[in-house]
Amino acid sequence: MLQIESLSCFRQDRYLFKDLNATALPGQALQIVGENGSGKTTLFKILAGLFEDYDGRVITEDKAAILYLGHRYAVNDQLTPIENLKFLLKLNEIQLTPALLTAALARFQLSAELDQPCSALSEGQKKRVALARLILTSARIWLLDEAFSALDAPGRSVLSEVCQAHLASGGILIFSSHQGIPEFASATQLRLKAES
Amino acid sequence: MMLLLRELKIMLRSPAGAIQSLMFAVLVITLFPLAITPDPDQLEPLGIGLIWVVMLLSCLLAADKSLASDYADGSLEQMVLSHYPLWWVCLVKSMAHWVSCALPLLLMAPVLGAMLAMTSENIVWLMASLVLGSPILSLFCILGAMLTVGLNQSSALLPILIAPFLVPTLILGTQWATTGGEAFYGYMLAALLCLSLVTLPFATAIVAKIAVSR
Amino acid sequence: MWRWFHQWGSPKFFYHRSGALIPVLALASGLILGAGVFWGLLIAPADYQQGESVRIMYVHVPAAILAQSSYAMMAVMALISLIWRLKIADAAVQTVAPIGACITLLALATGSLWGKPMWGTYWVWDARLTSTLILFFLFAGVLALRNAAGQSQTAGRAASVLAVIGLINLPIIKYSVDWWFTLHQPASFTLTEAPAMPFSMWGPLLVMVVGFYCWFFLTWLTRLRHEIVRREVRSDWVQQMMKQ
Repeated sequence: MLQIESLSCFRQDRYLFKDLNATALPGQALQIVGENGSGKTTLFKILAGLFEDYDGRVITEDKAAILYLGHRYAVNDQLTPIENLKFLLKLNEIQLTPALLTAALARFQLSAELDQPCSALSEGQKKRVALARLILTSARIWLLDEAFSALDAPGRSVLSEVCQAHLASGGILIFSSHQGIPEFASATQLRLKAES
Repeated sequence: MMLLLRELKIMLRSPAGAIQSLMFAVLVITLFPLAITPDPDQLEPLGIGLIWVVMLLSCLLAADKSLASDYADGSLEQMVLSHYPLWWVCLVKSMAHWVSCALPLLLMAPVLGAMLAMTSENIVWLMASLVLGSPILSLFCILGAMLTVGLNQSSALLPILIAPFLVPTLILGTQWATTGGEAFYGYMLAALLCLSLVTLPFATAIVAKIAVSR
Repeated sequence: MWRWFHQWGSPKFFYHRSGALIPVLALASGLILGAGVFWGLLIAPADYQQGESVRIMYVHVPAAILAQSSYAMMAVMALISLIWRLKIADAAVQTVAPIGACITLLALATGSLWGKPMWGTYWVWDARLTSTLILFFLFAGVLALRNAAGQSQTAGRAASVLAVIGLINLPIIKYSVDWWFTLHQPASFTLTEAPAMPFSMWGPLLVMVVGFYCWFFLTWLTRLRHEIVRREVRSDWVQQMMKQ
C-alpha cells in the first residue's frame, strides 16, 4: 500500500503541488497527470525517496520494495544489454542466470544485439533493456515516469502486459504518460496543475 | 565486488580517460625543463615536488568525468536507491578513479623521474609516498566530483573546491620522499590515509544523496 | 530553552526581533572602531624595531582573527542548516561567505603590506600567510559552489557540506602548513615570538578586535535580514510590511 497525505512541495520559488492526497492499494494503478513542468518528476522522486524537501507524508509498508524507473533509465553505453540488466538487478540483490536474463530481453524483442555494448543500440532499444528489469524484479511498488514514451507499438503492448501481470499479482503501479494507454484508461488519476 | 568489476569493465572498454591522464602528466613534466632549465643538477631537487604536483593535477582533472556519465544516464540514482550501502558505492568509485588515473602515473613514475634527473633512490621513495598518498587524493577527488556532478562548469569548479584539502597530503608525501623515508612522516601519511578511508566515503555518501535530488 | 532557540528559527520572528540589534551594533562598531583607530594609529607608541609600520598590525591582526572565526561561524551555521534543515541557517551561510572572503583578503593584503617593511618583500611563504591564503581558497570554494549550483535548497546543502568538511580539515591543513614552514624556514629570517606587548599596544589591539567583531556582526545581520525578506517575499508578513 502506498499513501500520499497532504503532500506539498515548494521548489524554486513556487509551489509544485499543494496538499496532495491519494491512496494506491495492492492491485491498483495510479496515473499522475500533468503538463510539462507541473512537477511530475519531482513527485516521482519524492515517492522513490530521492527528494526529501516536502511537507506532508508518504506512507508505505516497505520502503525497500520500490522500483523507480525515471526519465534517465540507467543504461550504460559501455556495457552490453546483459551486463546492464545484470547490474541493475544485482543492485537490488537479485541474482539470475544468463538464461533468464536473455529470456527477459527477448520478451522485449531484444535478441540479436546482446553481445554488443549498448552504444550500438538505438534509444528505444536501450529503453527496452531498462524495462526488461520489470520482468525479473521482485519489487511490489513500481514508479514508472514516462516509461511508455520512446517505445514503438509492440514495445508498448509488451510493457502494458507486464504491468497488468504485476497488478494481477497484487503489485502497485504508479505511472505517468503523455500518451493515453488504453489498458489503463480506468486507472485512478492524480492531477497536478502547474501554477500559473 | 560486483560494483568494482562493473567500474573496471567500463574503464577497460573506453581507456581514453586513463591514457589522457597519462599523456597530460608526461606533457607537463616535459614542459618544466623547457621552462626552467635542462641542467640536471638544478632539476634533480625539484623532481619529487614536480611529480607530486603533476599527480595532484591529473587526479583533479580526471575526477569529474568518473561520475558525470553515471549521473547523466541515471545510474547514480539507481545506486543511491539500491540495497548497497552508499558509502561502499563511493569507496568503489574512489578505487576506480585511483586505478584509472593514479595507478598508471604511479607506474610511469620511474620514467618521469628519469626525465627529471632523479636518482633511483629518490624515485623509489617517491613511488612509496605516491602509493600511500595517491589513494587520499582519489578519495578527495571523488568527494569533489560528487559535490559538482551535474553542474555547469564542474570540471573547472572541482579543483577550486578540493585543492586546499589536498595540501596536507602534498606536504606529507613530498616530505617523506625528500627525507628518504623518515619514519615519522610515513606514519603521519599512513594515519591520514586511514582517516580519509574511514571518513570520506561517508561524507561522499551524504553528498550523493544531495546530488541525486537536484 | 529549546523552544527559545526554535523561535529564532522562524524567519518572521528573527526579522522582527533582530531589528532592535541593528542600531545598537551600528553605534557600538562606530564608537569602538573609532576609538581603536584613534588609539592605535595615533596615540600608541611606534615599535622600536619596525617604526610606524607596526600600526598595520592594528588592522591585520583583527582581520586575521576574524577571518578564521568567521569561517568557523559559517561552518557551524552550515551544520545547523544541515541537521535541523533551518532555512535561516542556510541564509546565514549564504550571507556570511562573501563577508568572510573579503575579511580574509583584507588580512592577506595587510599582511603582505606589513611584510614589506618587516622582511623586505611583499609576499613571504610563512606559515601564517600561507594558511590565510588557503583559508581564502576555502571561502572561495564555498562561494563558487553556491554560485554554480543556483538558488535551490540542494545548492545550499552542497555548499554547507563543503563548509563543514572545510572546518574539519582546517586544523589538519594549519598543522601541516605550520610544520612545513618550520622544516623549510630559511635561515635569513627567524620568526621570533612577539615580545610581551605593553598595554599601550595590546590595549588598542583589543579594542580594534572588538570593534571589528561588532562591525562584522552588523554587516552580517543586515545582509541576513535582507536575504530573509528576499526569500520570504511571497509570504503574508512581508507583503504586509511592504504595504506599510
